[in-house]
Amino acid sequence: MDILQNLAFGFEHALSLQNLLFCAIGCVVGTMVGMLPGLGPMATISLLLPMTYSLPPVGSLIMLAGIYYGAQYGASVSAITMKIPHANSIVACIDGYEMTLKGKTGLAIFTAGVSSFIGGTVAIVVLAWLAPMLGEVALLFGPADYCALILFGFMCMSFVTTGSLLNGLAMCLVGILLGQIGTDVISGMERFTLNLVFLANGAGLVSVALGCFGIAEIAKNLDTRAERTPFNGKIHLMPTWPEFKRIIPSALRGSAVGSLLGILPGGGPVIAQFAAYAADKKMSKYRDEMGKGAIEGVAGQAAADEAAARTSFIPLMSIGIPENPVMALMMAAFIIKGIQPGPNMIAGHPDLFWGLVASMWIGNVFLLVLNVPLVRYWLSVFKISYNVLFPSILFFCCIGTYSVNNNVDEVFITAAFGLIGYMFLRLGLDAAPLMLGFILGPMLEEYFRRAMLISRGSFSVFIERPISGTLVALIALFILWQIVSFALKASRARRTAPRPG
Amino acid sequence: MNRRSFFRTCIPGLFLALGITSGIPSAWAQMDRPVTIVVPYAPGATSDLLGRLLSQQMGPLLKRTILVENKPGAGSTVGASQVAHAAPDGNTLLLATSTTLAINPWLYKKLPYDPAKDFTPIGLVASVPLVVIVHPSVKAQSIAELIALAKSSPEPLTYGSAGNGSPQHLAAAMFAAATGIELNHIPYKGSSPALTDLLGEQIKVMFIDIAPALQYIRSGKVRALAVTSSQRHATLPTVPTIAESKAPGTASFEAVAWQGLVAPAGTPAAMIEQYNKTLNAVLAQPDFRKRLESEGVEPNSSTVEHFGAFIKSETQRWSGIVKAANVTLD
Amino acid sequence: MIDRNLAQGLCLAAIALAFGLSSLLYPIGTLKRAGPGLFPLIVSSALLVIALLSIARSRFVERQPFEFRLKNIVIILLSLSAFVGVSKFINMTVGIAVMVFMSSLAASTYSWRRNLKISVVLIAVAFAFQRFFGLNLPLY
Repeated sequence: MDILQNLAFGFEHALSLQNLLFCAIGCVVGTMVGMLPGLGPMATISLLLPMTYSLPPVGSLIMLAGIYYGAQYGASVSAITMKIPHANSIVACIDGYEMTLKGKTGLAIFTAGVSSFIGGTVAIVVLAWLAPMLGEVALLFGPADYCALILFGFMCMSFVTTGSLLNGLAMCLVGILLGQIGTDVISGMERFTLNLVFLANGAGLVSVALGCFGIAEIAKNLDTRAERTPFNGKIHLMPTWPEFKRIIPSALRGSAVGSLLGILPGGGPVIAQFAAYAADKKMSKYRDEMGKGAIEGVAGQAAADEAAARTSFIPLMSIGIPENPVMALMMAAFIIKGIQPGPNMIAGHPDLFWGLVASMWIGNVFLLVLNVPLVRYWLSVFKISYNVLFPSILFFCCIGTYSVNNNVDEVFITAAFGLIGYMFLRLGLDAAPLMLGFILGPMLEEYFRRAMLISRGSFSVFIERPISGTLVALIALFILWQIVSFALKASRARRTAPRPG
Repeated sequence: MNRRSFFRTCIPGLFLALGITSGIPSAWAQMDRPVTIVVPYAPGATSDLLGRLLSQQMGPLLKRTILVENKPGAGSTVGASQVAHAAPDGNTLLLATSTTLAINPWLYKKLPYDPAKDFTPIGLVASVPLVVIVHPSVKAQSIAELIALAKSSPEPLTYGSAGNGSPQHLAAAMFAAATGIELNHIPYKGSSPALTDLLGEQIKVMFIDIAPALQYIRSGKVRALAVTSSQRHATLPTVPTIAESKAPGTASFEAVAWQGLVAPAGTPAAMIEQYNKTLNAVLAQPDFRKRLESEGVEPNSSTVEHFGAFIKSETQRWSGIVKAANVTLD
Repeated sequence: MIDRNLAQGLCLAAIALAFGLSSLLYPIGTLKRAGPGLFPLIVSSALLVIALLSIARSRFVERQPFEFRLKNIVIILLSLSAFVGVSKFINMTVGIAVMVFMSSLAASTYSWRRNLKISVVLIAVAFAFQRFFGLNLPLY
C-alpha cells in the first residue's frame, strides 16, 4: 500500500524529537488561546508567524497547524464552562453549557475531547487517502452554489435552535442584518454605522459573541441571585460504558458531516457543527434529550468541528486555494518558507505533506492526553464563587474585545451587544442562530451579489446549476414538509379537542 | 482559597507554554512593541506576500517584530482608512498600492481617508506587472482572438478582479475601452478568491498579478495570453505583451501596479528616514531581489522625496485614465 | 403584564423597520447590478414578514410574562463604559480596578477587600498578556 508507506514516512518525520516538541507547543498554545475569548487562532497565528521565520519549515508548519486545531478544541472548553463561544463552538454552548448547569462539566469536556479525537482521526484518513482528488471539489462550487449551501446551513440551524422555528429564522435574519453594519466591500459605502468611526469596519464577531452570550449570561445569573454553588462533588470525568456507547455513533456521524463540509470554502466548517447537531437531532435514539444537556449534543458537534478543521487543509494543500482566513494565513506561512501550496506540493515536498498529516494525528493524541489531567483545572473555575468569577469574565471580555483592533472604543460595541443579548434572552429568543447569521450573512451577500452579476440578474442560475439546484430542492422539500406536518398537527389537535356544547 | 488555586494552576501553565514558545527565537526579548504593516488585501495576494517578505527581512534589521495584518475590502480603503486614523507613532505602517494612493481619489465620491494629507511616504517597494489569463475552455489563444471572441459573443465575457478600483479592474477597463469591447466586471476581495473562481470556470478572464497565477500558468490550468507591461516578463518569456498583439487600440498599452510603504501623517521624520533606509537596504539584497523577481514582482526603491513626487505624478496620470476608460463604482 | 410573545414580535418588527428603512437611504440598484442597499432591504423585508407572523401568532397562544430587570445589566454596562473612559483618559490599570469595583455592585455581597484582590490579580494577568502575548495594552 502506497498510502501506508507514505504515512510511515510521514510519521518518521513527525516523530522526530524536534517536531514532536513543535506539535506539543502548537497544541498547548492553541488550546489556551482557544479558551480565551477574543484571541482565537487567527490572531495567534498572525502574532506567531514572524517568530517562525527562523524555524525549519516542517516544524513551523506543524506548530501553526497545531495552534489551529488546538484552538478548535480549546474553544469548546470556554463554550462549555462559561457559555462564551468562538465561531466554531456556537453549538457547544447549547448542550455543553446545559451539562455544566447539571454539574456534568467534566463529562462534557471529556466527551468533547474524545469526540474531537474521533473526528480528527476520521478526517486524517480522508486527508491521507483522498486529498488529491477532493481538492477539485471546491472548484465545482460557484457563487450560486455557495448561496444555496449557506441557505442550507440556515435550514440546519432551525433544528438547533431551542425555541420555535419561526424565532430561529428571525434571529438568523437579525444576525445577517447586524453583519451588514460596516463598509460594504463591493461599493465601499458605509452602511448602518451611525457615522461612528469604530463601526466603519463593522462589529467584530468577538464583540457579538462576548456580548450576546458572555455578558447576557452574567446579567441573567446575577438576576436570579442563585449563587452557582461551588462545585465540590466528585469529578465525574470518565463516561460510564452506556454513556460511552452514546458518544460513538454521534461522534462518527459528526466526523462524516465535518469531513465533507470542511472541504468546502465559504463557511463550510461553521456550518459543519450545526449540520452535525441537526443530524443527531433527527437520527439519534436520544433526540428528545437534545437541547437539555444531551451527551450527543456535545459529541457530534465536537467531532464535526475537529474533522472540518483538518479537512479544510485539503483545498490548500491539493490545489493551493485557501478556504478561510486562517488557511490563507497558513498559505502565507508556506509561501514565506518558499513552498507553493498546490498540486505540486505533495510530490515536491513529501516530507512536509505527509509529516503534517502524521503530526495532525499525533496532535490529536496529544490533545487527548493533555485534556485528561487538565480537566481538573478547568473544573476549578467552578470552585470560584460567582462574585469573583463574573468580574474576571468581564475583564476577559474587555481585553478580548480590545485586542482585536487595539481599540478600546470597541468595548462599547461589546456592551451594546450585551444589552441586545440580554433583551433577546429575556424575550426568549435564542442567540445561537444570530451568531450563525452574523458569520454567514456577509458571505451570503457577497455570493448572492456575485451570482447575480454573473447571471446578469437572472434567478434561474440557482435552479440550473446541479449543486445549487439540488440544495434548493432539499430546502424546498424541507419547508414543504414543515408546513404539512404543522397542518397535520393542527388538524389532529382540532379533532381531539373537546367540542363545545 | 479557591480563587488562588485557579490562578495558581492556570496562569503558570500559560506562562510555561509561552515560555517555551518565546524561548525559540529571541524576538520576544527585544520586542517592546511590535510594528504592524497593514496589508489592505487578503492573504495570498501579491501585497500580502510582499508585506510578509518585508516583515521577515526588515524585522531583524530594525531589531523589532513586524506583524502583518490583513484588512481586505472595498479596494483597499478599509485597511487604508484604519492606518490613516492610527496613531502616528511609527508602529503602524501601510503597504499601499497605486489603487490606495493614486486611483481611489478618482473613483470614490467620499473616501474615508485623504491620500495626500493622511499619509507620509516612506518608499517604493515594487512594481507589479499584470498578466491576462483565461480559463483553458475559452477559445482564444491570443489577445487578438480574445477581442474577436468578446465582439462576437452574445453575452459579454465575465472577468474577475481583486476589487473595485483595483489595478486588475482598471487594467481590464482600460483594455476594454481601448479596444472597444464590453466586459462584465465581477469584483472579489483580493486576487486569490477570484483566481479560484477562474479555475472553476465561474468567470472567464482575469487581469491578474503574476505571482499567484504563476503555478497555474505553468501547469496549464489557466492560459496566459499577454502581460500588461511594456516589455515581456522574465518569469514568462514566451508570453507576449499586449502591445505586441498589434490589435487596434493597444499600440501603447501599459498598465502596471506599484506598491509602496507609507505611515500615518505626523510620524516623526527621523523614524520615516530609518524605515526608508532599512527598506532600501532590504531591496538592495541580491537574494531578496531574486526572490521577488521569481514571484513576478519588480523590486523598485526610492528616497522619501522621490516617492512623494512619484505619488503626485501617478495621481495625475490615473485621473486621466479613469476618465478615459469611464470607470465607475457600481 | 406584558405578553412575551407579543413583545418578541414587536421587537423583531422594530429591528426590521430600523434596518429596512435606513437601507432605503443607500442606492438599491438592480438585480443585475445590486447596490449596497438591496441585500439589507431583502433581508429586512423577510424579517418583517416573520415579525408580523409572530405578532399574529401571539394572539392565539397562551400569554407568557415578560420580565426585564434593568438593575444588573445596567450596572454591567456602566462598568464596561467606565472601563473604556478610564482606559482612554487615565490608563488601563486604573480602568480594570474601576470596572471590578463598579461591577461588583451587582454581586450578591459587596466586599472591597475581595475587589482589591480581584483587581490585583487581573492587573497581573493583564501585565502577563502584555509581556508574553505581545498584546498592545495601554496599562500605564
